[in-house]
Amino acid sequence: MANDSGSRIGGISVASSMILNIAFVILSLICFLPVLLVIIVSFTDGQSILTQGYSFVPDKWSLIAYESIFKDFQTILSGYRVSFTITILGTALSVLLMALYAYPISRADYPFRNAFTFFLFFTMLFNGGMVSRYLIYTQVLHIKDSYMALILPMLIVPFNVIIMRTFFQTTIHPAVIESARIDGAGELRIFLRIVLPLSLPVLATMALFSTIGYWNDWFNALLYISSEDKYPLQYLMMRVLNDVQYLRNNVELAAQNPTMMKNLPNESLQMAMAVIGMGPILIAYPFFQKYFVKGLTVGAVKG
Amino acid sequence: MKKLKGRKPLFTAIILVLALSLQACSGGNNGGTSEPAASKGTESTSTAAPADSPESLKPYEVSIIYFGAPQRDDALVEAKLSEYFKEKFNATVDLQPIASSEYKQKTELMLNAGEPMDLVFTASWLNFFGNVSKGAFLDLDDLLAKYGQGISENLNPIYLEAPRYKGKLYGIPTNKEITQGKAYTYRKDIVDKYNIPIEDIKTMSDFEPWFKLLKEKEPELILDFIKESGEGMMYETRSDFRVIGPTPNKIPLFLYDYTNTDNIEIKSVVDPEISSIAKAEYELNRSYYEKGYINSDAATTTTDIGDLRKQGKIWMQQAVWKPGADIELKIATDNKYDFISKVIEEPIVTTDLAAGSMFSISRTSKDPERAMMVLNALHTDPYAVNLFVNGIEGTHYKKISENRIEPIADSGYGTSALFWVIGNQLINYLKPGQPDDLYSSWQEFNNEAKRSPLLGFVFDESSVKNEITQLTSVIGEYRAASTGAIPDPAKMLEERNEKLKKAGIEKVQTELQTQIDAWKAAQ
Repeated sequence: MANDSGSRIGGISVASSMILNIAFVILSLICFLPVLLVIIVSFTDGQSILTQGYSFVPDKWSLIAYESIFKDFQTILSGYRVSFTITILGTALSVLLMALYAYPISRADYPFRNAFTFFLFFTMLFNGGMVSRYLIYTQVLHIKDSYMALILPMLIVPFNVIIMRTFFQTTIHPAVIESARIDGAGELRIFLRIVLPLSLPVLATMALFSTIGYWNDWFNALLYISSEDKYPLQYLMMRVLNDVQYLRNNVELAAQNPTMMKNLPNESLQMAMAVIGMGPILIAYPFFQKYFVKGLTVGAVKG
Repeated sequence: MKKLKGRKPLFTAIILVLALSLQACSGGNNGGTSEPAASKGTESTSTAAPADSPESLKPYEVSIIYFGAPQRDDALVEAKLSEYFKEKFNATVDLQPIASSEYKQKTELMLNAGEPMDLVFTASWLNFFGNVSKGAFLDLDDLLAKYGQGISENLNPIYLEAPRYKGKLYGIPTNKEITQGKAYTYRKDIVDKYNIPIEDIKTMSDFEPWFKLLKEKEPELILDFIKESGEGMMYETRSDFRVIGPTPNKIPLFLYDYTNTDNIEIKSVVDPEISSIAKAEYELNRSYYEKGYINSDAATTTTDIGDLRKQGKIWMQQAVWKPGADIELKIATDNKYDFISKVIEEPIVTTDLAAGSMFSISRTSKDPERAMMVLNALHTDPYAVNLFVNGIEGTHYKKISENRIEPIADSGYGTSALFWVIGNQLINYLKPGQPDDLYSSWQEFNNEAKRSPLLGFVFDESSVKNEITQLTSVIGEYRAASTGAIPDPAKMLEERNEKLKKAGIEKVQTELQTQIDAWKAAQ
């Protein structure tokens, strides 16, 4: 191997960069191929899945899965509407509230910070369980069958608040806050005009977590929602898949009623649902990406 | 401590607005006021004689929580039903279908939370007896006598012996087939082609020559499809033993001789007599497996037999049977294959089977009388029950004759299997492919059904919960031993039985025997 600067790319020898490239190609294939397979299976004819199993080159293509989903496109549309609504509203609220909680407990000069930190931390260790939460939601707050029941449970994630607090502590130098105060800014102005703009990376991270969390949440819908037009998309998909699972696991029930098994959606329909469910969230990531790349290296105090 | 300066009022205002808006968001529900769940009290204010004149009754909405996937036109059907019941006894209905996979979890929560509801679908396999002992449901004896005469007239009296707890009735079973026999079900074309004498095949060992023949002639077929999830029918075909008590992972642990009605003696699977039956069956399966008659992935497969049946790979299966079962199977294969069954086990009515599909009235019901009236209508009134199960005539199905219909494809209702859930299946309209005498043959089947000597007995596991947990984990370890895919099954069986003994199977057996004796004495 020649070792002059021409055969080197960015200070790495050609051989090493080849190996690195190959490693990354393999890594991205490991991530990408399953998704591709899901998409291909969703376009495969049900009968050829039964005979041939999953395959990247199916015997017979078919659009039947998508046809049967879009036969009921009203339901899908309403599912999308609900999912988008709770994701956007929930994410915005969630990031704002978590920042509002995390910032005070990150400040060394806040007298009650230990109490509030403990209050938050305690919920990570102990919770009342599902039944008590259900009781509070349905009988105290009365948010059964409302969008609030989908948004509220995931507004504050204690672990994420602690991450935010740590970020504020390490990134926002007390001197910055000090100097802002000397310049005559009040607490709120400092928070909104200095702290938040400096914390874009952590805000973006939390927004991404929130977005994915809200988009993928179906369990709260299962517990609290009962009218068909308030179900998010993921729940509608999950319900179909769970029902298939359920009948497969309860052989007696299925055996006593073979006709129940007859209408079960086949594999390609299940995959088509997965494809429809994951579309928008795949598109969301690039919008957050720029904050992860930039931002993290930005300081505010001159060294 | 620094004093905060500057825009404190503004800051406070923003926080306040946020807090208020959160409050406001949660407003838009129309839930009832939170009042503590009504404690026990079947006595309600309306002591009107059962003159069902709508004028004498206050308007009331009966909520029905039932086992079925929500459908697009649920609201239409709800409106129609409400209209009908309003005329009858001034009641409207609120249909709350819950999909099968969520049903148990969701209803348990609703019951625990004491939500107001009226009619709740429940069953022995949905922890009915556990919920009854917790006091979730009302005792129905008086209500049935007053407002459910139609139910008592229609329902086979054996039905009402099962859903009882300490002698009181807590559930009204759906009127359908009361039990199921076990059968070998064959693809008719294969049986005809090779003249297989299905009358003479009574146990798995009788299959040997036919497996051998078909292995050669029909290599496409899976001759004996076995999954790890079941033990097949060894006790049913080789003895009079039937299962009772806990069956962790669907594996029987305790058995009794059902022909001996006076002196019920419980035997566990570690009993020499029982384990010799199991051993013979395990070894037979092993030899079939080695000869290639059993699917090679028997220990691990999750394939659904229905899919294989559709592909025509199954010629024989061990199935539950009731009149018309063969036709149901035929419909499930899109009418590709005909099936024929030979029943090899006398069908007996057990507690679990007779309580396999029921409606109970929640203790939180504000008007149990009206709930019972609605249930009575669903048991006696063909219009009401068919509206509920099949939807609206002309929209969801076409009527062909007096009691026969043709469902309209993709109509938005009628695809969820509600026929075995709601009221009375024997007055459902017949669907394409079902014979005219389907329900009369069910009636006959129900009348002839032999009752298990333990009908009405329910085992209370609470005192042996720990042992059952341990037994369950042992069973889980050895489940695949019966499939034939594991070498030396007899040794596995011995190992398993040793471990079951250590896990306390005898203690559970003693408890079960004690409870049965006490129950017998109380009869």
